[in-house]
Amino acid sequence: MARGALRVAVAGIPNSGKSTLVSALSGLSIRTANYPGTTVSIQEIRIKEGGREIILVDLPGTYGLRSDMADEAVAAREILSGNYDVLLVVGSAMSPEQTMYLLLQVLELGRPTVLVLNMMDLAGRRGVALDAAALEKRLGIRVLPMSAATGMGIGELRRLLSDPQAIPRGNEAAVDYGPLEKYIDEAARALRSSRGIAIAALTGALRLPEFEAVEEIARRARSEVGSLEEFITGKRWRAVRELVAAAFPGARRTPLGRLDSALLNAGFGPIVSLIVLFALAESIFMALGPAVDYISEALGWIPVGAAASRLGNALAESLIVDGIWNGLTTLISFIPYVFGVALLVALIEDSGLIVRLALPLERWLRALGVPSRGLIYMMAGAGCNIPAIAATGAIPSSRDRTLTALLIPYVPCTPRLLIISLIATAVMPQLVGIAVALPFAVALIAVAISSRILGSTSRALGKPSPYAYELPPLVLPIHRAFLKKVWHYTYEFIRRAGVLIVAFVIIMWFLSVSGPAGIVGPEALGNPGLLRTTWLGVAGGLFSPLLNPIGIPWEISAALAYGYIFKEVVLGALAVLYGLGEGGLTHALAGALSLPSALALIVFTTFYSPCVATIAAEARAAGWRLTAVNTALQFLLATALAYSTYFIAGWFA
Amino acid sequence: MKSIRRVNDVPEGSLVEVVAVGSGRLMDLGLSAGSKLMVVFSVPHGPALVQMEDGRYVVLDSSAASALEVVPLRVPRGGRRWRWRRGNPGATRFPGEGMLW
Repeated sequence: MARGALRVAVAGIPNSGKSTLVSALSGLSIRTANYPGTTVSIQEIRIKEGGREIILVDLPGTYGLRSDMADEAVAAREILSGNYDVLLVVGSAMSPEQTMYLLLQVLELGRPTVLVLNMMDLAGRRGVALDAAALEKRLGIRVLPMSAATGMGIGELRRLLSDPQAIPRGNEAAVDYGPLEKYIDEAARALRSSRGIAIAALTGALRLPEFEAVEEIARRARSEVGSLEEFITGKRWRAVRELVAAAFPGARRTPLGRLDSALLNAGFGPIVSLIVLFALAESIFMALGPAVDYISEALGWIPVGAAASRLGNALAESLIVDGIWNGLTTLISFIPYVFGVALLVALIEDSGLIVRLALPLERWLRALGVPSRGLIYMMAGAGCNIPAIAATGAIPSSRDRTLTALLIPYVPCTPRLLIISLIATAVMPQLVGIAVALPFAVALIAVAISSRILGSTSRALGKPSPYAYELPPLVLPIHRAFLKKVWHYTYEFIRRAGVLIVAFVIIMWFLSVSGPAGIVGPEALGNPGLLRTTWLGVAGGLFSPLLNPIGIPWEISAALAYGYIFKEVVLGALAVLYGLGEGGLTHALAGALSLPSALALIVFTTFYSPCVATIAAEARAAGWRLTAVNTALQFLLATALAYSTYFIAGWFA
Repeated sequence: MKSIRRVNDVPEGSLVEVVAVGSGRLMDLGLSAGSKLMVVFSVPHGPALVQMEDGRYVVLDSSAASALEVVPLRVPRGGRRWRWRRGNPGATRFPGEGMLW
């Protein structure tokens, strides 16, 4: 008889290298899906071992089985009541206390459990030893020392999972709760459940239909021991300390290193953090430049136009060249950026640098309404918003992740800066430096305003909850499993956001070759008169009355409407509308714009619209409703700030 | 009588005793009333980094740090505070003796 697939929940403490372990176990692809009703991502991988299919479900990292944070609450719910054959607890040998604390709670559930102690190589170098036999004896489970980075222990884990009958349930009563034991037994009998479920129900960490019966038991227990949460936590930590003393001889932490002392400094730490973040982001984007150029050049060699011309139909040819092929090349040209941002984010997150960089800046960022971990993603967004938004999946808090994804489109990306540079060069050549700094200053104001509006009005974001965690060790995470993880991230972006990006480009093509009167034809793409009659031309016309009062002519307003497709096409559209080559635009803009109008246009261009690909990535990270609200908010803020700039500049001009 | 303060309002290098743990999260990290902590990094109303008795370092964001009430046991002589918001990046001196930890 064929054996069914084995379902394994992979639970672990934050910064235990759990995702590196999952990457090391997986093949080339990982299936990622949102947990029902949340924006919390759950990864699922399928492996075959010993002729048996094993489904590993990678849960968000958590310290315990109760939490106010959305991600950890999902992990707790799945561990407590999910349908799994085996619970795989991934801990860190660098953090034996937190590992044991989570493990003891999982053991109380009385299900087949395996402990993986990751980062053994690193712990060994720092003088931490592990007496695995002592731990196995006390807990009654299999303990696997492992280094996911080097691959040590991976084979043994696979073999163990292929034979689930050999996985013991462990010592359910590893913690002695003293006077509370009788109440736990009573609750377990009333619920016909494990000890762990009974404890979770008594403390309110798990809400069950039989709540009233348990509440009465909990009331009696509280009258004897006081706060159940404090009493139970205290007993667990006492057991943890005994276990660590017995199984981790010589496990003591070293003092903070020099780099830690430099970064974790309230005086100059913020400046050092900003410099390190800027240097890292800048070096990645500089390294990416040639890759993007090579890819663009290589794509240019593919004779799609020549092949499409054989169709003998101008509209079909345009659909293939300007629609489908344009969508595909756009997606392909994003890949180096996506890989670069994934590399940057994974490097900063996995090295433990993120905490050290975010902590000194937290108070400043908090004043701006930016989540402390969000800064690195926003800096990455200065190259291209899309991969930065997609990368926010690595932020542990659901609220911070969504808010960061919504704030990134306010950061001016490279194509927006190109438009701004052209305007500045045309109208204020002597002030180009200041003009290019202006968008960042305006973006900062807009981020502060929008984060408050979004954070205080959107229930979908959830409430902020206090966040505390153990300082992870500082490591250099360059190894095979790390690169595989970066690849998984890139692949996931192509698979999920890629389809939307290509689809949007094709839709935008359709809107630029058709109008209220029907199909206008591909000629509209190069003819200013026809372009005005298309849907996009009509939309551009709608911008005109809005921007005309601040001295921005129709041609520029209409071209900006194309920014909703991609900012890269704005200059091309502007050239078509003025009937010029892009080289002649400087003169045209210089003649069309006054200084206050130019400054207002720079402010408006900074974040008036995300492009379609950004909208697709944003919707995937934050949901369609919040994306729509945020897109409208961006437009309103950009308009209000542009008007303010125009009138303020007018007073001085 | 010793005054109760928030952990992020205590100078760096201070040894403190926890009076009240504001959240279950901090309990999960092993903090409880009576725990002794060394304040490694702190910004008034901002985040803090503390070292626990077992040697672990715990990072507290502004909310978590503001919810953790402590009593200073020892404050380093001439403990310095960074007060960016109040426009005084210079020192505010606190009484106290040398570090204990």
